[in-house]
Amino acid sequence: MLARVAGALYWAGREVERAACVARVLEVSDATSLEGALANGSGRSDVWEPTVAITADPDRFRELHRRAEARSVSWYLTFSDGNPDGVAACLDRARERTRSIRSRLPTEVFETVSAVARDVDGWGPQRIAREGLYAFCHEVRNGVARIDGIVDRCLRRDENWQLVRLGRHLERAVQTARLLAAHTARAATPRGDAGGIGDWRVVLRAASSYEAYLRVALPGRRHPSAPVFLLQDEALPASVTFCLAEVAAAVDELRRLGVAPADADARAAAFAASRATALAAQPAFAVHGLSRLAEKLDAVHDALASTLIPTTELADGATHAQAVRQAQN
Amino acid sequence: MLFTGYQTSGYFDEMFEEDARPRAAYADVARAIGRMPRATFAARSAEVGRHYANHGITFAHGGREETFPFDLVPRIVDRGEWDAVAAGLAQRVRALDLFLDDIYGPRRSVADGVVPNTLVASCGGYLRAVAGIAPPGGRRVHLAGVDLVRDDRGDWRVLEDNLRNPSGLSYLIQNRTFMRRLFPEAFAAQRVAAVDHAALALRDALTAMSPAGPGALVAVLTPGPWNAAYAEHAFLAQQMGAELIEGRDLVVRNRRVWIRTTGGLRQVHVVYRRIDDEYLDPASLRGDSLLGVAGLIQAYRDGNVVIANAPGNGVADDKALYVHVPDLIRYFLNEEPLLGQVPTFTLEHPRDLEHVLDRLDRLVVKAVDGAGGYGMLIGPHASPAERDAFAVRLRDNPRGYIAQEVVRLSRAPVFVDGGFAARHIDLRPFVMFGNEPVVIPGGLTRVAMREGSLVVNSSQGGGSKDTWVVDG
Repeated sequence: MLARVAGALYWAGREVERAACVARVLEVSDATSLEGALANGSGRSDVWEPTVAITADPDRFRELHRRAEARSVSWYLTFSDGNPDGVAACLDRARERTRSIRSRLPTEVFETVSAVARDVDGWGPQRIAREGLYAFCHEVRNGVARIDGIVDRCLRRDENWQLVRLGRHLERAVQTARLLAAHTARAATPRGDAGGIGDWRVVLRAASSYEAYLRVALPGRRHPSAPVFLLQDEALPASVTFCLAEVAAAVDELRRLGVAPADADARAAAFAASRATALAAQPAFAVHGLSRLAEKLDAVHDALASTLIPTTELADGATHAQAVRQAQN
Repeated sequence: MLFTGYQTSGYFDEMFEEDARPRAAYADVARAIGRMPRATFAARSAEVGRHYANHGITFAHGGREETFPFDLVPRIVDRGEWDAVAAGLAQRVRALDLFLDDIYGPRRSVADGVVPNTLVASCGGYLRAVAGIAPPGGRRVHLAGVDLVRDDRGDWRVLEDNLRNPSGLSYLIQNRTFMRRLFPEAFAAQRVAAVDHAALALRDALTAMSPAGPGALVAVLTPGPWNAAYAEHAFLAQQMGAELIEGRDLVVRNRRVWIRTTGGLRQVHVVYRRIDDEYLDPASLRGDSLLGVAGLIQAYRDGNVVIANAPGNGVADDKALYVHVPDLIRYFLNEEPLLGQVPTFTLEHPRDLEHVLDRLDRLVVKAVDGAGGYGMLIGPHASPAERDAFAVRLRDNPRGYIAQEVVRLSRAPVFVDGGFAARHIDLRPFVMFGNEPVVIPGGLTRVAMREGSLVVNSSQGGGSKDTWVVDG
């Protein structure tokens, strides 16, 4: 398998997952800000600032916007040119990546990624204003579900699928860890139970895990707290432990298929994943623990990056210029 | 009636006789369209654009990714007529392949006076770096796109040959796929020749020339997603089961070509390149190329890799050589040409140049190495100022241009603005040449979408139609 293709599959998996996670957080934040005390002005600090904190680079937001509020955060997380992790940017890049390797994929896969990216791109801020943020986020989540469904339905369980699986689950683990970090930080404040991200129900909804938790947390039974559930539940698709098990399994399969990263890198990735899992399994955790968890997840990526996923960027401008000039008679 | 008000206006119309009756081959299609409400046909036509965009079947046009307009009314050619055309195409490609081998080898055709030495010596498509190289399998033209037009008598004529990177094969295949999905009624009881095998026919032609045989690893070398025809590169790679690669995926070691994979290096036996000659190898050709790989020409010289089409083919599709193709067929094959050509003037002789300059308002002038509908003047449609500007260019560089009589291209109905209107069309059939020439039935019918326009190129806003070869 071409190393460039491996990178494109891995990154497409991450970017599609990231778009869904961002849309889900945005949808939950929007809904939360509409109700109760938060609707009377405190939504800004209890909802929108923590929402910014969940993003990969909160400082970038602050360079572009003076205040975290409904309008600025929504724009930043959807269509802003200044945010490479916005929903539209992620899906556009996923489309470009799958386009660049479309010959390796079943036709339906690129067709679906392309259709979803184009549909989302067709919204724009005016339509969001007209139809509401919920409708937009709903379309993104449905679109990503379509992509996931087509990928799981059409791809052989070969190296292509394993690379998408690897990217998808590593990204999901990172996103859940970030959610938990934001939640833990807010829960420690006096307003922690006011319905913002510090509220356990909100953090579970943002991870699409609320109903799953209710089935576990039956009254009168011992049950984990919501954060522990999101960290450790082995059967919950959004939990860090579940995702890391998928990452480890994907790395093992890639080695078995002969598409492995160098052994040393695979061992490093597996080690980082096991350390992250062990950290997540600790009975007591705090903000400090979650930041260490994020470091371990980054270490998994770094260990794979040197051999498996060397290319994250498309070719440069000079190559672009020459490519355009090639005659196709 | 959807065809109410449709005018043939004295042109040869592919679908209708002069008395507005559908030609025999079109009877079933005309009936299927006739039964369809206008709104239904319009809705299906609109659906085409959406399908093409979602499938990424696009052409980069002025830096934007645009779909290739597709018209749902097929162009139909009777089997008997097609067989005669196909024989002429195979003959032509066979002769041009022999000519190329001769030009980069003993040059007998020059010594015997069939082709002027000055023409070859001044040809921009001639590639000195491959002189004397015998390509693996001896083949130079693996895929040819020969553009045909029909004049107002309905006779087929060759307009030009494309022997470097002819594009459009993917559209031919995909147009048929969309026709089946969106207009199944049109197929009715007809026996339409299939085209789905075209990509595999190309693969067979490529691997037949490789010492590695049918198991050869084929790679499609693309300039990347920014190139106008990237969607085609990706589609053909997928349908051939080939790797879609960029120059940065390749490395040459031990005079062999390899791709970098996650499992190490893997040898490539056939490079179906979609980049220009000069960009293939920065070590032997253009030093600043970022699209090729250093050492490729050396590997080719040693017979370790097939490059398709062969580097240097531009000498045979130079428009000034076109005039000599009938003689090349007679010289190399000892046969009379089966397909006619368009009357063409080269301009190197002052008398010919003056003759053309006197008649610029009645001729089409083309750059000898032009493509995509660029660098041409359609005299009758041009303004006096445009003709004057071209006259200066012709005087400055007479070798750089040819002039052709204006052909009154045939027309066909195209659905525009809710009704049918006649538009000029041409045909690009494809010939794959491995051990023997294989002509894909039909080809890509290209449509000049603007009323009265003769320019059918996709880069100039042209569209396409599915082309059917039907048994009578």
